[in-house]
Amino acid sequence: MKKRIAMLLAGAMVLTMLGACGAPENESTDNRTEQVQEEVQNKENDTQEDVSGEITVWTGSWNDGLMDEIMKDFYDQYPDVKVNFEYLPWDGMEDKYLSALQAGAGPDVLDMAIAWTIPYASMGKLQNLDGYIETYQVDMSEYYECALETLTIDGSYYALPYRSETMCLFYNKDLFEKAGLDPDAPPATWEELREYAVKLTKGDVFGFGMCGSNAGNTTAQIYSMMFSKGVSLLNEDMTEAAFNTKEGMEVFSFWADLFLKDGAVAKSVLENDNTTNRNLFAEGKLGMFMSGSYDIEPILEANPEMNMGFALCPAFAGGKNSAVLGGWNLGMSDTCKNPDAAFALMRYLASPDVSVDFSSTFSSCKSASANEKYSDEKLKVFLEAINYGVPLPGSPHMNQITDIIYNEAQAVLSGSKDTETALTDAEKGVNDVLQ
Amino acid sequence: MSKNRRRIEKNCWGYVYIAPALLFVFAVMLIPLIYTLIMGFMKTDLFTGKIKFVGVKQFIRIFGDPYFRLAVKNTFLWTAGSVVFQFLIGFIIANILNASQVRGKTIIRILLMVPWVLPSVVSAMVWDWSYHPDYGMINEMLKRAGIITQSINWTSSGSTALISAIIVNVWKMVPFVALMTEAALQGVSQDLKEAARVDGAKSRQVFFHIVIPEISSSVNTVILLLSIWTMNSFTFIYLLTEGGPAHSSEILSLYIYRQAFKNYDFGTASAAASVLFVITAAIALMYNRFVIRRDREC
Repeated sequence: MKKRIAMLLAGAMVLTMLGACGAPENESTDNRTEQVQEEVQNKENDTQEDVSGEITVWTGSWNDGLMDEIMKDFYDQYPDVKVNFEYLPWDGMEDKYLSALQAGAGPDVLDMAIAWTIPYASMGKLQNLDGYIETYQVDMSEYYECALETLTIDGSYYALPYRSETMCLFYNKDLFEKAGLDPDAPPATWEELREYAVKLTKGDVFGFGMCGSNAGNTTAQIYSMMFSKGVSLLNEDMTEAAFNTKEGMEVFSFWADLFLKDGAVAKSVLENDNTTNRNLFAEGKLGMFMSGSYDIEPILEANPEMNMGFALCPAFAGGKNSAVLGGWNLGMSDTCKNPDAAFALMRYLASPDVSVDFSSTFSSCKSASANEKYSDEKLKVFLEAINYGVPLPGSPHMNQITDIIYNEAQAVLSGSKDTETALTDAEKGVNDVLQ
Repeated sequence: MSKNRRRIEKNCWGYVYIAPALLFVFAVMLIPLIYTLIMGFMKTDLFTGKIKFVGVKQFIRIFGDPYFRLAVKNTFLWTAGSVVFQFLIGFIIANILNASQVRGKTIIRILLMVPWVLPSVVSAMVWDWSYHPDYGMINEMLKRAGIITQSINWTSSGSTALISAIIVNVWKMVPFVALMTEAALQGVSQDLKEAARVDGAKSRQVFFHIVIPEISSSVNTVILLLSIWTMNSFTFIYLLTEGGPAHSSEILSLYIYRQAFKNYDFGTASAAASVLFVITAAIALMYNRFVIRRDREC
């Protein structure tokens, strides 16, 4: 009797383990039932073009639940195409793409951050789209040039852009007035910004929201300043650091001095990332800071009385307004068995009208700036700013490069290194990585 | 003859019953460990997909990395600093609680458990804000008490980052030490203490010559556990300082995390992880051999 009970228990334990292993299989059966339903629906319409088949698309989990609405017109046009969307959370998305692409187990269409496009293409994992662009007569000039830079290698296109965004200067008009500055005249140059920031700093209010925490936030500000002076981060073939020049040194010193000498930045800079700065700005403790259009709502939610203005990121005197470009592209993987359907989907999602809905910030199409979704006055500057966006180099080691520069920047802010040594050490670190 | 066969049969069934659990342990603990140790000898490049065997050179290379050596040094500072104070403070509190006749003992004990029971992430966030130079409570209180005139950048200054994290770690584990020590103290037989006092021993002698040896085995185990947990810990340092500024408070576990998940350099991360494993295992084995076993023999 005891033996039998023990046997049953052991058997139950083994079965539960096997059951746990079997879980993913259940998910794919659910997908298949979904697809069968779609198939039945689509067969009722007449075929427009001779495009058919099944394709998988990986996209971000923020699109979960939104795709049905966006895909309605696509299914009208291409009723014989079945599209399976898989949603990946941002955390670990890069990892998942890399390992899947290496194993040849990736999707047909990838929704990827612009920073990943050129690295994946260099690995041979993205298909050259020149042929399809010609066949389907896609006019690439309708996209922003800076967005196209993120997907072009030797003149060939490896993706279609659909989302582009960059940072602008947010400034508190009330604080400007209190400091005796014209609330409708935001600083046009970094030198002016420094002047205004010093005037705005009083008591526990500081002039400029510099980031000293979070590698991406901190380096975005430094990179934007460097781009304005025409400093490149890496050389043409991305084999060497190119930022340790006279201009690069000037920019780095200017940036560091905003905190070290001018006193226009909060003492807690090393702990402040851009979210902290946004909160300080919303509370009226910060005169100016840099961010994207996605921060407008949170600020107004935290402080409905906020009287703020927006301006292009300043330029250095004699330089160009520049800010780091952000965004997303759609690419076709090298394992795609149905390129016609895949390209049809990519062209659809990257088209002027659909990309406005698909992109959570702005569309990469120049003509879409007239779309009524962007008609809010507040967004005007952000739309214009996309023209001044500069993408980061498409090196696969960009994460490490940013980390190295971020650590040297922190060393300077904490006073343990001077700017010359820090920039030289950064150059050395980056060259080591790029070897 | 049949008796032997019955015994062998019984043993066989024993293995069958533990087989699922053994399988689990193998899959979840042993195989990843062996995989990591092997990967430590390989150089990986996620972008080209190449995995190349480089052998001992990888270990020589990481020991040549100044940030790795800094991480090892910081790990020892972090462990020693945390365990010493965790134990001392917890031990003192346990002795006070055990000896005192205070009324609200139960309430004090419950309140004492709070740091240990709170989820680490929640505690880290609260301490992070308390340490903030402009809006934090700690700087404010120190300034009002006149101890400092200017705010200290607790978690973002090279000199105080590690110390700030150690303080939080000590705060978290003191309840555990106090609980374990009190349990051990209550296990000391009153008769022994009475007998010693009858023989003319003073309180101090009773404490050092009777109580301490009695609780030593429990105390030694607690210290070993604390050391192993602290050496491997990640949460507090990651959330408070992220290893910064500029790697000055980076411990080995953070170094490994950075190499694996920010630089995608799994070979280096595995090598560093193997080093951490060897250090932890060596300390545990030596401690077991020389301290715990010796106690038992006495």
